[in-house]
Amino acid sequence: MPKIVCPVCGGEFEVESVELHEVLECPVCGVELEVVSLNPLVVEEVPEVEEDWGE
Amino acid sequence: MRIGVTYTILRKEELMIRDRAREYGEVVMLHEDDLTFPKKYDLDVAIIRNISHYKALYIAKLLEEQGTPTVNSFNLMLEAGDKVFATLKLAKKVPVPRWRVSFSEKSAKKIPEELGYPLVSKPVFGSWGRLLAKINDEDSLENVLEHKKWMKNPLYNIHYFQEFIDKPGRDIRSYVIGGEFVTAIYRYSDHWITNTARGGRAEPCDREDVVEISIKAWEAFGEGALAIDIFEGKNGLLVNEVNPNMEFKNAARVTGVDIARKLVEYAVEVAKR
Ligand SMILES: [Zn+2]
Repeated sequence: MPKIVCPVCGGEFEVESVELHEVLECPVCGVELEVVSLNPLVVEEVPEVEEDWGE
Repeated sequence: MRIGVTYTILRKEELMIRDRAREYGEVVMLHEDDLTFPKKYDLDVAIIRNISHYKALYIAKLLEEQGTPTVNSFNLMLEAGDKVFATLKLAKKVPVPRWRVSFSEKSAKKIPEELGYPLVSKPVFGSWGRLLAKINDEDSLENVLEHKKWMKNPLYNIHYFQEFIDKPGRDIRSYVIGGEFVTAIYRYSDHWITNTARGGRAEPCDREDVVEISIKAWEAFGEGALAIDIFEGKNGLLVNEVNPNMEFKNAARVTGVDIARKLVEYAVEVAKR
């Protein structure tokens, strides 16, 4: 299982599988992380995106 | 059937849409990095899920020009995605909060004479409650106008104001797709901004008057998939705004309604037209 290190809080967690551009929530600090590369596995904090639309 | 999904990131919504779409045809996921125009993408329909309103708008237009119908369409996103344009449409069909638009600081300062305080200042685009300001008095109005003046985007200097509606700690978000009412939730929050993206709690909302006003609000535009924000005012329901690029994971979770499936079914219907 891929292990992810949160770039924001340094917390570590495992996920079953990931896809490119998938958004994961860090279970430690709650920040949203985007998978920006699969090999090697790299995640970055989802940017405070542009103009946007939400719930 | 080839169903395209254009996107920025794979949120729960995009993953749900992709999974459902696979039941109806072949799915082509198109990340922003993979799109260049003009180019012919071989699609029967495209579901536009880019987060940026303007990217979504341009991508829809470019796809439509190459003959691919889109959900939501360029026209719908243009009219529903701008608070002024949307208000003009909505006001013909449903009650909306009292509103004013002005185009200079000077004229904006006169608005409280007509609407009174408190006022809500909103950018004409965007959501998640960003850059919403509640204005209680002349001082705060001046502060907001001063801040807006220094923001680079010219759209921030189109001044859109609404009367402040004193909500009972919640508002309503409903979903209408292809004219069919899909579901609705209450969004609870102690803050006057009640977006679930800001941590508002969601609960199912099952009311006939919400169904009615939601369908009417959709009819103001007459196509597509819309999320509709509704306030419970003193004299009844008011449609606050509509959102043509909906998030729905919390609504799907608390109501158990498969909103992604409704969206895909609608896209398939659009493809067959
Ligand atoms: Zn973290």
